[in-house]
Amino acid sequence: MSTTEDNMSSQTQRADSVQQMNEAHWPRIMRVAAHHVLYAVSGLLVLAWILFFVIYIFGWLNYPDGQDTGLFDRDLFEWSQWALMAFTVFWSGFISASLFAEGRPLTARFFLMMAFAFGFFLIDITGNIGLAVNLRVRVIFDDGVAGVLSPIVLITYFTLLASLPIFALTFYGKYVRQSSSARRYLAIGVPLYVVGVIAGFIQLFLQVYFDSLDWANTSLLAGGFPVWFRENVDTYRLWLIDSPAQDTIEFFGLALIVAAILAFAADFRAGRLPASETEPQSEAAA
Amino acid sequence: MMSSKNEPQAVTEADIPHWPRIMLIRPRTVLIAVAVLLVLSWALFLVIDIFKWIELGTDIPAWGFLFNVGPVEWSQWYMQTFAIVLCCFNYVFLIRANRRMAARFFLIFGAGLCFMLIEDTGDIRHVLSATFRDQFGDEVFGLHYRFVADFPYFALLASLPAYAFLFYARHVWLSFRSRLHIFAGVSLYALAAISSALRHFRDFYTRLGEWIDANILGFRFPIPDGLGQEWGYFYLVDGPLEETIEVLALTLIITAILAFTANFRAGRLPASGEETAN
Repeated sequence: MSTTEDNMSSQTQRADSVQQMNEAHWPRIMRVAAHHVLYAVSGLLVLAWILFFVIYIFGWLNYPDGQDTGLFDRDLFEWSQWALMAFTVFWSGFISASLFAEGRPLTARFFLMMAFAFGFFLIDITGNIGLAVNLRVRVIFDDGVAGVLSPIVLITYFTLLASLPIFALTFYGKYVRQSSSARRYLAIGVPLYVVGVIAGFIQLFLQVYFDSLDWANTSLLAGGFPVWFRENVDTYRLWLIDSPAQDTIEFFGLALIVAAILAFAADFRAGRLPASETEPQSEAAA
Repeated sequence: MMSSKNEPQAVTEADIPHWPRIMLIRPRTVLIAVAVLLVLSWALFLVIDIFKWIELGTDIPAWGFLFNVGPVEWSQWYMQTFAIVLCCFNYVFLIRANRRMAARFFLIFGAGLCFMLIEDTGDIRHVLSATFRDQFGDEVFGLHYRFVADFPYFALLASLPAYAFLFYARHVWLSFRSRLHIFAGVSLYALAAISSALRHFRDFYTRLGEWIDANILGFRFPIPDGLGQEWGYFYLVDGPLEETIEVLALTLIITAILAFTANFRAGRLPASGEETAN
C-alpha cells in the first residue's frame, strides 16, 4: 500500500490504453453480473423452502410417503450448485489469466488458486473421493490398521482441500479486497460458507446439535417434520441439519463468494481497481 | 486473408509474460505421469484379480477400486479442472495477440469442459435415465431405456466441444506439434463417447466383456457374488477398458493444448490471415 503513489502517473497512462484492451476482450459468458447469480440462487432457495413447507409442514401437497423429495440436496438443486461451481472455475481461470496479462500477477495468483479450489470442491462434493478412499481403506485392511489409517486419510484429504482457499485468502486476499464490492460479498460469504461446511462435520460430534434440532422441530415446525425420518431418530436429525438448514447456508455462502469473484471482475474490467502498485514491479518480473 | 500483411509480428515469450508455472507444464511430463498411473493400475489389476498373486482381505475385486470410482477416473477430473483453466489462459493471451478464431476455440471448448466435468463427476445421466424409466418403462421403441435416454444427453454434452472442433480447430491445427495429439485424442474420445452411448444397445458392453474374459483373460475375471455375470462383464468394459481409453483421450487433448501453448508462446505459430480479416 505504501508504494501506491510512486508509480501512479506512469500507471495511469498505461492503464488507459491497456484498459480498453482489457475491457474489449471479455466474452459475454465472462461478464455475468454478481447480482444475477445472487438472484438466481436466492430464487432457488426460496422455492425449495416454500416447497418444503407446503409438502412437509403444512401437508398441502401430497407427496408419496416414504419418499425423500431431495428438495435441498438432490437433483436440480444440487445440479445448479455444481454448475455454479464449474463455471466459477471457468470465471476464476479467466480472471486470473486476464490479471496476469495486465501485469497483476499477485492478484492473479488468488484467482488461479480459487479456480483450482473450486474445481477440487466440485470434485469432492460430486465424487466424494475422501469418503471413497476411506471406505476402501476400511474394506482392504483389517480393523486395527484401518482404525489408524482411515482418520489419517480423511484428515489429510480435507486438509489439502481446505488449504488452497485458505492460503489464497490469507496471502492474496488483500488484493481482491481492493474491489469494495468484492470485499463486502466476501465478508458475508466466507463466514457463511465456513459455518455451512463446518456444520456438516459438527453433526458427528455434538449432541447439542441434535437437541437444538429437536427444539426446532417441536417449536418451529410444530413437530411436522416428515414421519419416515423419525423411525430412525438420528437419521431424521441428521437429515434436518444436513439438508434444509446446512445446505441453505452453504449454498448461499457459495453464491456470495462467487458474487465476490464476479464483482471483482466487473471492477477490474471497468478500471475501478487502484493502479496495480500494491504489487511491486520486481515481483511481477520474477 | 488479404490483410495478412498487417498481422502483428509473432508474439514471443518476452511479450507474453507471467504465465504461472503450472500452466507451462510440459506435455511430456503429463504423458509420463498418466502412463505411470495406467501401468500401475493395470499391473495391480492383473496381479490381484487375474493372476491372484496377492490376496486382499475382501471379496470386492481390485478392479472395483482402480478404475471406476478409483484413481484412473479421479485423475481425469483433476485434469479436466486443469484444462478448463488452461483454456482460459489460452483464450486471454490469444485474443490479445489478435488471434480471435483460435481464441474462440478455447472459450467454447473450456465451456464444454465445464459441463463434462459436472457429468463425469456427478453422473447426472443416471438420475435422468431413472426418471425416464419411471415415465416410460424399461423399453422404449423396443430399445433399452438407458440407450434412448443417454443418447440425446451425450449428443447434447458433446455438442459444445464438437462445435469448437468443427469450426475453430483448424486455427489450433496451425501448431504442427499439436496435430498428432489432437488427432489421437479426439479419435479416442469419440470412440469412448460412442461406445458409451451404445453401452446398452443390444447389450453391447456385456457381450464385449464376455468375449474379453473368455478370449483374453481366460475366464479369470472375478465377479462379486451379488453382482451377477451380466453386470460383471458390463463393468469389465465400463471400468478398466473405458476408463483407460478416456484417460488416454483426455491426456492427449491436454498435451495437444499444452503443445499449442508452447508453440504460441515461443512465436512458432504461422501467421493466420483469416484471423485478422475478422
